[in-house]
Amino acid sequence: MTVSPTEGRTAEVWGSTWIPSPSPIEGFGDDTGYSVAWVRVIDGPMLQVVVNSTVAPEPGVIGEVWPAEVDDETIDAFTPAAGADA
Amino acid sequence: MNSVWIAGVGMTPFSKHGEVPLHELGRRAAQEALDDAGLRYDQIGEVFGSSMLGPPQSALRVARSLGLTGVPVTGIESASAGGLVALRHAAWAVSSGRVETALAVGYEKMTTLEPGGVVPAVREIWDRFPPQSVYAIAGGRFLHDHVAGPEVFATVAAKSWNCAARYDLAARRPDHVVTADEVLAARMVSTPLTRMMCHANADGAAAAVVTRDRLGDAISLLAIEQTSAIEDPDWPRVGPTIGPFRQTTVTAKRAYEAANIDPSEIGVISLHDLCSSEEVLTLVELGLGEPADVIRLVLDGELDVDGQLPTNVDGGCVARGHPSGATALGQAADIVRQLRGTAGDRQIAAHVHTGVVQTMGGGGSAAVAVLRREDV
Repeated sequence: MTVSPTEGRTAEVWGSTWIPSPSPIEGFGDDTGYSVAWVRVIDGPMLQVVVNSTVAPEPGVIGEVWPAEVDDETIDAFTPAAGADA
Repeated sequence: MNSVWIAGVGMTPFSKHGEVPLHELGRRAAQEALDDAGLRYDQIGEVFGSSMLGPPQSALRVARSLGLTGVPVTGIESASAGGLVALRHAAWAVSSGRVETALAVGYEKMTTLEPGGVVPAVREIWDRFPPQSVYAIAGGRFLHDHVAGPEVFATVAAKSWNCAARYDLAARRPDHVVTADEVLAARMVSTPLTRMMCHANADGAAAAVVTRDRLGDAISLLAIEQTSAIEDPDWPRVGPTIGPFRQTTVTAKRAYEAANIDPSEIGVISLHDLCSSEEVLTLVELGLGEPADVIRLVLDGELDVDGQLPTNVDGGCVARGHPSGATALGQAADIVRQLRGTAGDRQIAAHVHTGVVQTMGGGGSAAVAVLRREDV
């Protein structure tokens, strides 16, 4: 998997879930599971994202959306801001 | 749409059917619907068959097993919505005057793929994620917005399991009274949804006979509307397996207008509940209450058979089971029986005369039907 963190856009979590099973995308989540969220890009669209965290972020958490390339496809990923209350 | 009637319904058990061929499941449900209507297959003018995973020309195989009458047979694939889409085509075939009778039949094998059946390919990365995650995210936000806990979804699921216990065609029939605590304690699938809040894969078939003339204790099909995914700025364009919940609002409004009813007239509902969170959110989208009202209905037990707004009292996808292309016709069959007063241990109050069937299929296919017992 390669990532392009420099292309990040600020977004706010609308909702999320934690799925307690192996992640279908290497590098997201951990042995206990992974998180998928819907985030609203500031002044932009609502996106479904895979979360770069080991917890599901709560609504209102701010972070960055970036394109993660997986198996020749690009998927939107989200990293909560450092110190964000996930 | 000119007035049409659902004169007969049929449904096999929604369960595991192992070696029973797919077309035989369809035949059984269709024959039961024909018998219920008091018609022979050679009196049917057109057939619409629904399946999501069935082999090509499954509809023709079902029809051939009923008879070689030469009538038009059309196969339909619209995921979970397929049953109502087939019913809509049957209704319009009759309403338009093209034929006097039509058969809608849905059939599916989910637990054992039919030889030649379709294995959905993974087309994009999001196909690797469980479909429950969409209902979990939307449901979690609903709880957040309305300061409620997962016991709301657990209570809905417990109701559905306990209704299914009294339904001999249901896939999940518990031998004890299921509680919300038991539902909450089940294995987590996608927070806040546990396994007992998620649908049961099942094999099965269901059918309905639509007629121009009123036969026996036929139920009036006042309206049936279908939509595809709509633009919604609050719904991600890429990722979710279904269209926005707001699509149900749009579809329902069209159906209510076509049926000339107000939502307050609706007395019984069968809706699509891939997960129990969908049942709660869909009641709101159907215009049957504000979120706080719906939460109160849930927690007060008002969605049960003897409640104020009986909903999915056949157990829903959660417990009746979900053989995708057949599911919505199974829902319609139960509403017809409820309105006739022939639902046995699960019978709702006699004064109810109007029911709604709603479905939401993968890919963004939605449909809503309004049914009425006209002798009230």
